[in-house]
Amino acid sequence: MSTPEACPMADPYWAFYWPGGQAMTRFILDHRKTFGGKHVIDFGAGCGSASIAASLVGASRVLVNDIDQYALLATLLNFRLNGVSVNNVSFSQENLLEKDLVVKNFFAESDEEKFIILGDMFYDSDFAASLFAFLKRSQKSSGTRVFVGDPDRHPLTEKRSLESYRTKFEKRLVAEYSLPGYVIREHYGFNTAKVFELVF
Amino acid sequence: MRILVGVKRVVDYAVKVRVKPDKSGVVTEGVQHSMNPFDEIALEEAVKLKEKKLATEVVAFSLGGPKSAEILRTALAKGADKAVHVQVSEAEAAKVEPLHVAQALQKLLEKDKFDLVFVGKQAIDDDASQTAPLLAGLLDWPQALYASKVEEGGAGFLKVTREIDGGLDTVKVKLPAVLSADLRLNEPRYATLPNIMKAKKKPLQNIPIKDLGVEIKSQTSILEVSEPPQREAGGFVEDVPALVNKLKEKGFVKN
Repeated sequence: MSTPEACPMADPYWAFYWPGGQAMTRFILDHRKTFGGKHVIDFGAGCGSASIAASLVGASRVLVNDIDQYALLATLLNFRLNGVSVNNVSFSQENLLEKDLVVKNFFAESDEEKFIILGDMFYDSDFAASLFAFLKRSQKSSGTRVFVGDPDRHPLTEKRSLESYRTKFEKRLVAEYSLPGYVIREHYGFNTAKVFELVF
Repeated sequence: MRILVGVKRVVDYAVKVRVKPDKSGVVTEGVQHSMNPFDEIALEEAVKLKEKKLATEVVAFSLGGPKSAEILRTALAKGADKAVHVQVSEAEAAKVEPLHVAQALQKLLEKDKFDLVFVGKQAIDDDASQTAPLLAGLLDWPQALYASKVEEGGAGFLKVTREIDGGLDTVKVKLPAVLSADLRLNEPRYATLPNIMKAKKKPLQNIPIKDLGVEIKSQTSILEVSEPPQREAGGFVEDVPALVNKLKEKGFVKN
């Protein structure tokens, strides 16, 4: 078995198909009508599975976003491996938390419902706090709907974390999926992953 | 069910320990340390209980010097949700005894509600085996020590199989309770890259021991630590008659 120290890249988040990303991806595939014809931003896309799902169900535009360039490359490769066209897909390495305009401009092209999807992005409560503020701004300015796939990591479940956020929101459970055995074995401590809609 | 798991930083099991020249203890400087293997087993079982949805949260606890934080990070990478580090100085760390750990745990449990405290049956450095029973005594909670199997035991209970000299003892223990893990309970998992990556940001709370009002006052004093007696080299014999002769010569066999 190769050890974590042997990994040549720093924190290769894109190298894993995280439980939250799996739930988000499954949810999109199961809700073709919700996402078909819509503009979707995949925030922190990682391996890009949710972006691929959004393209597959006919999203009119998909913005694949990740601050790690390897994630964008991995996503492009995964589109190809899955035989999915990238004609309606754009890639962005911007830190969107500081680029509200990028989000606004992307959504300005569409009169339909707009979505920001996040698979397994909530693993650090400090980062979560700034993420919630960003999502709220986007919801207020563009009317964005926010969907989150997560296996109940602490920033979304722990009372102390939830109470610490200055941005308040409602977390609506919309789906819960059992994780396959190999995923449970790979990601310790979880056996289901949920999809929430966040309303600010 | 919320589970608090005690994990101790000890000299790694694979290290050949050396006694200090003044016989006051063993050399710990510059020596590889890791999580006490029996605590790893307790942690593994707690994470399994969470995966089975019997537990809602697993919190790792360690009382020790600054480096105990590394052990807690490992515990988080192995599936604990949170960690609590009760901090003592490097000098105090060498003097910590099971009673101090039990007292610190008792104080923590007064502030934060847990249904189960799970520790290894013993630590491989001092082999004291006292933390779990001392804690159960201080709290007046039931205990199930040397667990080799932990199962659901009906509402508010666990069914625990214990390894004892005569065989296996199965007990139903009422929660809240104190458990200790025996070797055959499970095989602990490794901390893999995805778990290490997402564990980096899990909450690790630091509590100086004085905030708990526990004083590290020695209950025992070490008189001497010495190496086990050296075994003398043996010899080979050509055949069975030679062996018999040798045994007679040494007086092990009568003529």
